[in-house]
Amino acid sequence: MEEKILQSYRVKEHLLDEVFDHNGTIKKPYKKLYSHFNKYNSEDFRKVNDATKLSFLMQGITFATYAENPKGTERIFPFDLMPRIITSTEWAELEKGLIQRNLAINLFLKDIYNDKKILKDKVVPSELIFSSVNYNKYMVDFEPPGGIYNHISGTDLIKHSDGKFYVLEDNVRCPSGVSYVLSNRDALKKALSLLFKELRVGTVFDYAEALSTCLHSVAPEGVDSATCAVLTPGMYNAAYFEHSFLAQSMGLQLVEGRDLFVDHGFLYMKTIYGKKKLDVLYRRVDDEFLDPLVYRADSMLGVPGLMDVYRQGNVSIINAPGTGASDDKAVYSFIPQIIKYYLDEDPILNNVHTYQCEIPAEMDHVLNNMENLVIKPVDQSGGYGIFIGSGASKAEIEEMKQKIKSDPREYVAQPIMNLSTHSTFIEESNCFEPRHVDLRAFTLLGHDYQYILKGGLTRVALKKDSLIVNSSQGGGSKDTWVADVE
Amino acid sequence: MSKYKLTYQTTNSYENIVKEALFALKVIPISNEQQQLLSYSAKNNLCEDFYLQPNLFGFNQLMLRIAKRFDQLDVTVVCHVEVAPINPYQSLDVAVEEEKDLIHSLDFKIDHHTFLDMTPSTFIDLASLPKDLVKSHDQTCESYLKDLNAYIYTQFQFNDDVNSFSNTPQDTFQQKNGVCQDFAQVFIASCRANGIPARYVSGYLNQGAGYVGSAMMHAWVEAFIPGKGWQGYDPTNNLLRDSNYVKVCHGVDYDDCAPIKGILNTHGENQTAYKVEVVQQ
Repeated sequence: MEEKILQSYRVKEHLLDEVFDHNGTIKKPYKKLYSHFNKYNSEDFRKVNDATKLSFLMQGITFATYAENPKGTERIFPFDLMPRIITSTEWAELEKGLIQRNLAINLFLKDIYNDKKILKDKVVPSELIFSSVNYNKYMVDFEPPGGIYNHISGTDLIKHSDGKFYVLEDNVRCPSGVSYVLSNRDALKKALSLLFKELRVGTVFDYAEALSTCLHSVAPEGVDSATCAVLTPGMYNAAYFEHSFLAQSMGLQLVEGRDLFVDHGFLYMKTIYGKKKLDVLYRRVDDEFLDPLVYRADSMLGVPGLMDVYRQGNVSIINAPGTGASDDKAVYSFIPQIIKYYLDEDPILNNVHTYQCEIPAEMDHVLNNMENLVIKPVDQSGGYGIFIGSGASKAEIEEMKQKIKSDPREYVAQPIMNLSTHSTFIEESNCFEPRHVDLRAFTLLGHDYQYILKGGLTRVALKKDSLIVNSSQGGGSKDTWVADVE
Repeated sequence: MSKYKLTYQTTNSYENIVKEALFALKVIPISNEQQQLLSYSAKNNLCEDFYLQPNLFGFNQLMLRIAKRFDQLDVTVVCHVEVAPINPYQSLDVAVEEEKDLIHSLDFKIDHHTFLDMTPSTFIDLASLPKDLVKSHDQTCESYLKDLNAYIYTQFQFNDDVNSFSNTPQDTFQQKNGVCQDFAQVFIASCRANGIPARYVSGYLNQGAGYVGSAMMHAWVEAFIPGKGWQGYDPTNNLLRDSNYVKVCHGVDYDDCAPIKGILNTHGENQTAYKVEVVQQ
């Protein structure tokens, strides 16, 4: 007798599962997928899963993590064959919300670096912005070519147990993950090609063209046919696979700082045919390493003199430096007001309520309710330094309280949100188990141009019951289907 | 009218061959209401082309990109400048009440954030400032700035043996000596701690006037007086800026105004020296 692979699945009581309801009935969007998967027994399924993983290894789809080993261990980006499905209706709403949110963030950035109206009108405290380490003086009184700051945004969303999507954070510095979306899709197209046709899954392969349109739309004035390049910190960076993948699939040059130089007010790339002018630089190097002449002088990753050329309007930098002043966790709590202020609209996407530890009353609330909250450092990306009160010991809570008291600006707190769970094929047990997931959606903003990648990256917390999905902490991913399955 | 011929000369030698370099020199005076750059010429021992590149505050940097191997770089820049007669001692009195309200208003703090925001080299706590340097409520900005200028001049010893590249205002207060750069940064830190916008100025000082600090590039300060605008103060000489001063550029601190900055592809030690000549014509 063959064991069917989805039959022993249990949904936890207080959580929302994307695939099954609490009676164990499969939800409508997943019905076709379910009947398809049920044709397999677990042995067959394992074979297909292994073949797919092997293809990942062959393609070099890897990610380096620093969680256990400070030097970084390169590993295959974990992935399973069960896709996450989002209905077209639900997606249409998300899309509107993402465009609204990112347009507002762009206007906010333009404002805090130029007129500063929102600060003068006291909608956002000026202290909050000016005290941010990411507020960049080289961006003051300057507008980038095309008027866009956050060309590429990665918005992290979760589905709470109330069935609604909430934005968890905005990433508008150098958001990563697109390459995994495209590779995941590639792998799944091979394994489940019939289903794609049947469910009319939206494509993600228009991303390359969209990014190209976006980059060209913000080229410096007077440039008709822009030359674009991806600037990578080099092969030792955690996301080097992504940098090379993007360059290859977008038809861009892949360059390191040492391949570039500025001369007479322009940026050039060294080639075997001599120098070639660069117009658009999609950089995957952080602000402080971008230009040793004005930022960190010891940086080997940037281009000396780049910022002056940028301010002269002779090169576009994607994303603009200084965007980090809009996506830290303290500014996050003001995004609904920011949307209202610039667009005069109510926010379409929900925000999670955030307590600012630098406001005394809110800090008191946080200190008295530690076990029900998640404490986050304002400025860390990649899930580093997150403190979850519900699972912490008394001593750990005490220690965290001291940290908050000593540097209130550095911490915010949020109620513990229940990330939805999703069936995930777990190799150790050879069957499907629920695992927490979130969604990173990708938005492109160009000059009069907006694009949302249909699907995005579903990240999976692979440790049982863990809520941390970041790939740098060993999370995995799933293909995400936007499909007509209502 | 005062006319000056300015010569800036620098020699830099490197222990190991430099394969590639970009230099930015901030040594050419600006043209503004007070002074006019009449001409400049620049040459280097490597016969490379210079070009001009505005920095973030719009000041022209003399740029030099070198793509060949070298271990020695000498640069000479000669400028001719005309400075208008400046009498900084004509005071424009603004009512204290009005000034106080303005300085403490949110809009003023936001508009002047760039030159109110402390940087590591211009940082001092209001609490750790000497009592004399905490601006009282009924004191005008102008009288405070004059007192501050005099305080630094009388309390601190000019001493150019001090290697001051890492001196914070806190250090200068403790050591009670330093060079013009340290005094400028103490001045700026005190202004900003009291809510007065202030900026670092780099330039030349007439060598015929017998002032301290004219042998090298000089540093002074511009502070913003509500209703009057930016006014130059030189705590090294306890003077206000007059036509003996030729301004090159300003910034939030020394780092924005360093006369020469280079990013080089090399390793090991380097020797650098420079000299300045300011001749009134």
